[in-house]
Amino acid sequence: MLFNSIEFALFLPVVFILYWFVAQKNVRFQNFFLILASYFFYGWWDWRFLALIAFSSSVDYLVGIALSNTNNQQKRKLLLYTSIFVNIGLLGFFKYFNFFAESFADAFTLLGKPIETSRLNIILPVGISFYTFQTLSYSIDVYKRKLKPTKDIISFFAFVSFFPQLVAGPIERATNLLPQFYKKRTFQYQNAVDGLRQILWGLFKKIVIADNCAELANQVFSNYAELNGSMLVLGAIFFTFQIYGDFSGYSDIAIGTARLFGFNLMQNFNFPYFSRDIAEFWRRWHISLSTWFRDYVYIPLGGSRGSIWMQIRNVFIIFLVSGFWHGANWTFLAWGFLNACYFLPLLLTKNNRNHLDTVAQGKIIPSLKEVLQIAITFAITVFAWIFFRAETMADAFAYIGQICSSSLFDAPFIITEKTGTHIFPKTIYLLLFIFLLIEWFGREHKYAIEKLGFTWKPVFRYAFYYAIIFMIFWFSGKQQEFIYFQF
Amino acid sequence: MKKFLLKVCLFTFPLIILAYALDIFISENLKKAQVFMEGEIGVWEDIYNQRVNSDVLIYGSSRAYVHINPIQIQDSLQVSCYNFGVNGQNFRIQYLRHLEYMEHNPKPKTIIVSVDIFSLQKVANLFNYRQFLPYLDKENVQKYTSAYNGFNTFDYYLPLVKYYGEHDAVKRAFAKFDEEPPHQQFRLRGYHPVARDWNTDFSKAKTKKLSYTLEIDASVQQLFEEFLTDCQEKNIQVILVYTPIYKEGQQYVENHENIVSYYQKLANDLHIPFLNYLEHDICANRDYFYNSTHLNKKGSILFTNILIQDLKAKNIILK
Repeated sequence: MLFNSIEFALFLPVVFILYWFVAQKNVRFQNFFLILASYFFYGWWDWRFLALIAFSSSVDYLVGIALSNTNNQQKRKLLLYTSIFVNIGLLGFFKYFNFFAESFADAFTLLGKPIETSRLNIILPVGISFYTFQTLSYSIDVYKRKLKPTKDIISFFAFVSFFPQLVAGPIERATNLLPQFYKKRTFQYQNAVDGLRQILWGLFKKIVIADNCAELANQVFSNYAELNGSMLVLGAIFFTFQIYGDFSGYSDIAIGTARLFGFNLMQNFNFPYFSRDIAEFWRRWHISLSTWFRDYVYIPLGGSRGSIWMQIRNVFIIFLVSGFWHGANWTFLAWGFLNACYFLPLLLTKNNRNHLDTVAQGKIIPSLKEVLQIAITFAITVFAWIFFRAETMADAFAYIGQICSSSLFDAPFIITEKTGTHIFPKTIYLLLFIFLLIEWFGREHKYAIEKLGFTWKPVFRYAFYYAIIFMIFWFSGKQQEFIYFQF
Repeated sequence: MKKFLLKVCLFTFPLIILAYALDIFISENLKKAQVFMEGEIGVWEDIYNQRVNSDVLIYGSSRAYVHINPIQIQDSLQVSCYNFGVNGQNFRIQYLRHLEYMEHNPKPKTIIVSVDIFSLQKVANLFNYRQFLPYLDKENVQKYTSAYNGFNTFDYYLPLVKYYGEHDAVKRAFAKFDEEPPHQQFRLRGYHPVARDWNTDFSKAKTKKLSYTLEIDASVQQLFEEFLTDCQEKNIQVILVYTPIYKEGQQYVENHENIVSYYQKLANDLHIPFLNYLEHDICANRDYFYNSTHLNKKGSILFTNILIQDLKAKNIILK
């Protein structure tokens, strides 16, 4: 069930009403009801994979209990490895089997000894990369004694399958989310209103910004060989906004929905395109995944301690793994590699923590230096997204090659058959401008419109919300799935 | 909680009212955009507004509405005639037109059904689905369009949902219609001649696939047979016509002969005239086609004359 579908628009109020009026009796009932709702939500896509979630939940639940019952370090390690093996094994099979099989065959072909490998027709279960990481974090935290294992199976299953963040995050830590399932939730008016506001903004980002940019980006990336360099630059910029609107929009809807049910999820995006360097960008982009890799991969590897070579190794590992997490394709690895190359100089010169505050904090307009920093960071990010978006490495290099041709200085244009959309690029530029303006003025908050209009008269504030709803209807692009569903 | 629900209701109430109002506004204005969707809306409007009033109706797909000129039939046979051909549809949607016609107009005396390989074909997607947007509240439209991938339940029952993402339709609904040409300029009593020479559609199709087998939809086949017996019961004369297909194109579909035999047998069993033009000389001449399954304007005028002559010669009375 997509967040931007009519099905979800009906599902959400029904679950909300039942949750607060029928399942209100006690915390176990609330949690049990959330499991039912979450499994229904997931099963709407493909009920067969519910077993996978239940299996993953069961393994980590049992591992947690077993860890609490033993102090034997060897046994504890074995239990942890069991959890890692099961979760990464599931992920590896569903997501990476064909990639490894093909790469293996390619390697032998390169060596002059071609071999036959069988390709399995595997459907990637939606959200598997997200919920396996979430359950894995539970087992690791319990192993490290950062978290007490739960014996409450209902709370644990509800924690793993919680529908707002089940299929595309934020990847919650058990230390933050699980305890929220232990306490009975009571309805908080402000939380609910705030949740609705965040959902509205998330829908705007997804439907108005991402889906419209997607149409243009798709046209450019599908026909790049026939387009001039300047158009390809525009295509890459459209994709840059598409992926941000898409994923941060999803996160906003997820966080807002969770608030309606009395839960606080972690912030997943913090205005990343206003970052002044790539280190700041990575503190603001897909925060739940970045911090997951930081806590469970980077720091255990030694982080920024140790010799220079260790630091370089760790940076490359973290970015390459992060790239590979997105999908079984060399393009994602290249994207990760590129980001590691961007990040490394900052780390080695100890400039990676220069910008911990918000840009132009308390000011309306940034300084010229800040504008330049933002522009450079944005430009190198756009460049890296070309690899992320391209189907193959050959496509990515051809795309970049075309950008570097003399046609870069020609006026951008695209000739397509009638696509059925009435949005001309002029409109999309205007929408992007309005969007960036709102994001800029809201950059010191959790989401752009969190506090927008609080001092206005209610009639104007309501008019603003109606205007957003109107734009969602009027400027809706062709409905696209959320990009991160495929990961 | 009460305060929250009250505020949500107060906030959404104007939206719901507005959604209903906009839905009606867009639908009503879209009905005026009669050349929208290749003039199909114009044909629907003629049906719903009882402007057809014809003795002879022509049913079929695009092959009906580009092949048979009702004006020639009117002039030669002295009967009123209208072409109900609907682009890209199998018999199910053709039958929907029939039902809607029968509900809003007087019974015709004769129905010429242009049958072909595509009439009973299994089709998954609802082609040109936008033509149905203003009519989704109608029971028959709901029933027959729901057999395809096109609309979901919410499109039928919730206001404005069907127009979500339909930029062309919404934009059309807000356009000025005074400036639009009347649909009669586009579809002349349903007929749309195509003044084009042979194009590359067929060679393109051949490069993709050398030949293919058409899958027959059993439910559409049953519907077709029920329609024929129903017409007989209502004393409506039915004539089956297999209009020309370019010779080479006939070989492209592997089960073509089986399908033709099916129509022949059905016609024999029900004692219905079946005029088959697949062996006619016109099928060997590319000058009369713009692609392998569609006659051009020159071809359609010639073919309609041939059809009229045959109807006269074989004493198939259209009166």
